[in-house]
Amino acid sequence: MSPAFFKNARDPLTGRGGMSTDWNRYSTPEESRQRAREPEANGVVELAVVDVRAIPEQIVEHTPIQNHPDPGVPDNRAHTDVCGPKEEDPEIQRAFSRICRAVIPVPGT
Amino acid sequence: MRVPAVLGAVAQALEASRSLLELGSDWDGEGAAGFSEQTWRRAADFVARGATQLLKRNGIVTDDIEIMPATGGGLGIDWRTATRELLVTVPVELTKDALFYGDDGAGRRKIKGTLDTSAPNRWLTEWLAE
Repeated sequence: MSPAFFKNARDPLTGRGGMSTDWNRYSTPEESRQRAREPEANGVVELAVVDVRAIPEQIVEHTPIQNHPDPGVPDNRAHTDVCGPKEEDPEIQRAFSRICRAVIPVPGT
Repeated sequence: MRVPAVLGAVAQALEASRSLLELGSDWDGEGAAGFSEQTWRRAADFVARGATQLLKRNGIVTDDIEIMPATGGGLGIDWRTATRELLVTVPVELTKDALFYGDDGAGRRKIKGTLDTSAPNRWLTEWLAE
């Protein structure tokens, strides 16, 4: 898994920043894949929360989406943000790449 | 961009990474910036120079290297030898240094900081060869 894959995004409407993930208590890997803009071009990786929290400055927060200001964003009970530095610290990106496991491979890889 | 013939994997990685230039903005569906020829050339020059140096000075053939998307139109370089793993992030801004982190693959023998991609960086290839 490319270390650069692990990056934060900022929601332009809510201002929240973090790496969006889904909690597997409320979503299967396939359901998560179907939330992508192009599901057929995406895969899914799995990270254990205990491993994420072992990476410096990373905070895991369950942030379910309900009635998002953008009507194009559907409700998602599984939504979880991983906050903390990522792209500005290659050591952290490398650490993420070492703890993830592909559960649905990216097609063609 | 030329490298010695024995560095076929490097030439292949450079060639493959050219396809990143065809991606426009929002290529990831989350508003990501596209990639410029200038940034690619900076990354590719760094890789070609470093891999050639590693070969000529230390006799090591780089066979595991990838140039990949990074944030804000920057490019990442994932470079692995038998004993070292190095990640370099080349920013869009020419005046900014690249960020790097390296270790032995198990979080030991760490190095971390910033570097000038246009410099010889012989210390870095010595570290990769250790």
